[in-house]
Amino acid sequence: MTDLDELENKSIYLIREAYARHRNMAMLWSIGKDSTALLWLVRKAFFGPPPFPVVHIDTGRKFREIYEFRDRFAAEWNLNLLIARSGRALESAPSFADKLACCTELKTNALKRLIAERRFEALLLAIRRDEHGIRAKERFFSPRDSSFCWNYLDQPAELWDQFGAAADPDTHLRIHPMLDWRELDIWRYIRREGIPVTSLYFARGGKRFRSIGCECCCQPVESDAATLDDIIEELRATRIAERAGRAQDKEQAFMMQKLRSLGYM
Amino acid sequence: MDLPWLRIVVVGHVDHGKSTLIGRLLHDSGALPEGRLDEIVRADAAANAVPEWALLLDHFHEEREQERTIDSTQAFFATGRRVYRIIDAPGHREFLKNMVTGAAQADAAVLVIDVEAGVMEQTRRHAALLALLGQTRVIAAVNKMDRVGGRREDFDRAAADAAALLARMNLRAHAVIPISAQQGWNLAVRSEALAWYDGPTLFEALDSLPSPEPQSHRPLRFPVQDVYTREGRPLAVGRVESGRVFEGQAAVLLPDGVRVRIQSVARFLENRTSAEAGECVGLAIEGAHDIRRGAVLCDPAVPAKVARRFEANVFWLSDAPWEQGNPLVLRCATQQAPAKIERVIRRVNSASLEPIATNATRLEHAEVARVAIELDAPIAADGFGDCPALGRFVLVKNQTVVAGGTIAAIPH
Repeated sequence: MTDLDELENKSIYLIREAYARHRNMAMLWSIGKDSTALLWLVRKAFFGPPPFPVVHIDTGRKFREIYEFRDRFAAEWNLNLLIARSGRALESAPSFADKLACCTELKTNALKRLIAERRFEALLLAIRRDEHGIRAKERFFSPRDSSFCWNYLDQPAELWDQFGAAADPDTHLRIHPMLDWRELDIWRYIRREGIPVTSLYFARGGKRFRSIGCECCCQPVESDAATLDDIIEELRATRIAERAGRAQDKEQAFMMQKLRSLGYM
Repeated sequence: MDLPWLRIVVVGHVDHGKSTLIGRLLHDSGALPEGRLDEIVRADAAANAVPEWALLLDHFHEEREQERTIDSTQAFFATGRRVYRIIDAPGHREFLKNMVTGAAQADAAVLVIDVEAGVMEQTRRHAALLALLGQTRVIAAVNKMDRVGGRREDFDRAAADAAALLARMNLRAHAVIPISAQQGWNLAVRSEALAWYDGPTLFEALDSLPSPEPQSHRPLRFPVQDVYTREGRPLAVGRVESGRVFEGQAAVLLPDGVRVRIQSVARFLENRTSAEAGECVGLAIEGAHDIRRGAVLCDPAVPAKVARRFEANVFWLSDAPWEQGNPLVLRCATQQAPAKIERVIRRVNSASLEPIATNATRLEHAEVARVAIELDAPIAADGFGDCPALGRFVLVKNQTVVAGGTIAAIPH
């Protein structure tokens, strides 16, 4: 087995483990590269369409390409697509100058409402340890309480693919099947498997997006990487952090910790 | 081009320099993103700018404030030979379950020992847990050699202590290396200050560790994880834990002992007739009426044992102690059964490695014990040394993992 086979099999095992224990679950699909790779693994795990809803948290501030990609592959892959929006109209939503408030309202609160409505026991998310130092400390099965708090000071033990489940019925589990993948592995896997990704990742006019969030809060990076091979070559050489173009990580000290302890992904 | 992986856990007593070591490894291997080095430079007592390497791993506010690692963190670096996924396991007693979480995922361990302080409480506890987890690939790194001016006598003393500790745990160090994580001595490169040392650097020692042994040549073990319906027929999904599966293969389903045949092997978008250890597949199985999660498909020539009672080595992770009679649930691979600890044969303080009591009626946080376990229903089990996947288990209480263990002996 190659290293990619090893990563793939581990993720499929975790996805099936999640479903074996939580039939009422869902996965989050941001339409970015990581969650699209996760969706690919989910389709592999279940031999076709996922047996649970695929949730897109729509802030209304995403790129046009993201919506086009979503609608095309939701149809092609026969997904049970759920679109979660913040209850507040965009005009009354927090100004995106205040990133903590904006992410919390448009993403975290939209997700909270959906979970309250559907009573999901578990959510699959495509976060990776190498993305951010805070995510490096995550568990594969990570409990949240009803107010979505992540008690990072007292995380459950995980050994030998045995996972504790939350005992409280008001809680849900965040399940992270791709925690071990690096950014480079994602792209190598996308190339190997021929997984479609949005065109925003490929360079146009000397710039490309390396990490995609809302249109207002992410900046393209300087790049001439116009193909998958170029991206992989670029990542092998780069010393620039993946989320360098993501504004919400760096507005204030420990921003990611604050966001995540409030229930952010 | 695409290098193989090795997962390394860094363990040892608090303040012996685990996070500093990893921070420095990331730097010396060129794995740090641009700008990160500037963020961690601090002024020392003499107002010289020095990098505080441990800050690279501490991302929680509390970790920075208290200057100690709370949770196991993973970081990545590559040498010419391998990609290392490196796990920083906290050294505090209260974060033991984080240490175990990190160590259980690793293929090898680096045990860090402060040259001046020598073997301490958590050094012993971590060594005991490595042994219990079956972690036999251990490198001992004697750290802070800069504090003793690189003196060989100081290294020899700490190295002898470390070797004695590991021998007591039936472990052997792959290498014992004098290092300074702060100065970068003997990590990627050698140092003049340790010119007397002619053994491997840490990078060389890591690169010379053998890769994990493949499980494909062992007898078949396929614990059923779930059963899906595909094209109107049941498909048992799971991971081949050891051995191989192939079309037409005869097997036995445990614990029931039903003889079956593998009709087909399925992977989405692939044409398969077989699969090897580590692969997740679906199997159409002929001859079984009712397959469910927890059944284990085995090689009929060398099946697992069907057991309701066995002796095991356990480590108690929960803050709440176990007391005689407490009901527990045992999980082994995908199997699950109500369980109780029938008897504590021997109870050991993992920090001193001294026995506490025999026939105890209580197990406390961080204690290690030899116990007799009794289950309500039989499971398919192997000795830990024969087949790790069916020889290790966790004990669960209120849906929370409270202990881990390995099967030492299964009576006939």
